[in-house]
Amino acid sequence: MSEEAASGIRIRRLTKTYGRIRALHQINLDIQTNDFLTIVGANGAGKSTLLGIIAGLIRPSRGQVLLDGQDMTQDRDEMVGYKIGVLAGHTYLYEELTVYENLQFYGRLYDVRSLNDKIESLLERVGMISRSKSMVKTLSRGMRQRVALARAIVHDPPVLLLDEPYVGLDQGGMDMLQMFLTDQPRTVLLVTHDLPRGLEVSDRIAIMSRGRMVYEATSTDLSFDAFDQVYRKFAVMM
Amino acid sequence: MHGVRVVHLQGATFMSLFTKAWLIYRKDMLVEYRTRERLTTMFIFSLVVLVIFNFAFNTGVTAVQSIAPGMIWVAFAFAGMLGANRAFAPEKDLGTFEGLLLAPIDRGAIYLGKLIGNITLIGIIELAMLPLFALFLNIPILPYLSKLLVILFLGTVGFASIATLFAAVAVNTRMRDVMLPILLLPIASPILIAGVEMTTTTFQGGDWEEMSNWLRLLSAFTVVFLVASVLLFDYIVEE
Repeated sequence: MSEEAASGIRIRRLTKTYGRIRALHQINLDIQTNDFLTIVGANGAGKSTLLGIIAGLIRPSRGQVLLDGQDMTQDRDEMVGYKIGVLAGHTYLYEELTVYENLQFYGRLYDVRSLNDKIESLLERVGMISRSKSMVKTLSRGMRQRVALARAIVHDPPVLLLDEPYVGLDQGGMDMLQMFLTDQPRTVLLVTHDLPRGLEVSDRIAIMSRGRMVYEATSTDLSFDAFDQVYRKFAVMM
Repeated sequence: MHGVRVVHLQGATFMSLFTKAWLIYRKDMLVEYRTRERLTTMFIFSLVVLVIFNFAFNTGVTAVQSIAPGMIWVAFAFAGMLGANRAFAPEKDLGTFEGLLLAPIDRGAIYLGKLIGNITLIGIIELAMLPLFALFLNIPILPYLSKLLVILFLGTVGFASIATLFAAVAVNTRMRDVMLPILLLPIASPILIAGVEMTTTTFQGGDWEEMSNWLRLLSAFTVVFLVASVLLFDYIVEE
């Protein structure tokens, strides 16, 4: 396998069914290393299922997901966890632990070196250093999302999977997330309903509808209005 | 596929398995120390069982000694079931369980961490409740204490190993509170029966020789379930 073919995420004929419900149908997708792809689609389009399969949380019914040439659907390899960071609807934070304790716990699970320095630097960057000793249950939704971002990248993953990461964030939080996504080369897959933001931040954009990948283009191919029209057409199809 | 996992567990990941299990255990105990959610529920349940049984069987010392082992194990088994259920339910509800599944760890480490946590909590309840059982039921436990503690420990490890596995299964179902006893009690009954029989023999002044068959059964069940659970946990938690 050539180096180009082996790097990044390759998805081939990916299908997921829940009983008689087909959540994903024959998805093919390539995300090159350091590429930023946004997937938009209506509720139930299969975006989060796709993300869950790539993250290793959901076993597909058929098809392949290759990460840097390694087939993740055959047998779960713990090492893949080091390569992937996930920021999703759930923050994955323990409410009865402090912000610092949460990051310490996850940092140790990921074998992060110089962990304390790393946590302080991350908390500084997400603007939560003053709340490091606060219990997560005392934080607002936006603050939790900032800490969740720190948690997702505590191990410096080369691949970031984001599922509606802007939910709960104020403008400052959104700008901060934007800075994180662009400050170093990373392969990013963003799943969102927010078409304008998706177009703004990504290199490529894809539309999912009823478990299928129905449209794919670079974000400069069409104007926002043209994308919006295409998106609405597929959203109505739901 | 199972073969691959066995090789993994035999290699360098074996040490990592316990290190990561310890991290999860410590996190769970810190959360429990702050909330005391599981311990309080388990203690109150055991206490209620003791009080009800005490009034239900208002009999002499000899009769009590024959029913006390059953009372003790019923109380600890049901309290343990409550505790095991809560080992996964909050993680599932808050989504933190996915956070654990995403981590670069053998998923057997999650099982082991939760198992050690369940053993710790059931152990605390047993230590707190034993004097109360002795007091309410008027059983002189001091002469049998060392033997009783060994039996309770073995029974607790066996019961918790099954309860932890089935709690992980039940937490993914809609009726998880009902599902756990349905799944757990039939499978765990040999362990509970062995525990009751060994405790009865102990109260009757018997030695280890007299309960060797039950001890073997208990040990075999525990080892089989422990190993099977570590190996199967990955498939159980996968959606």
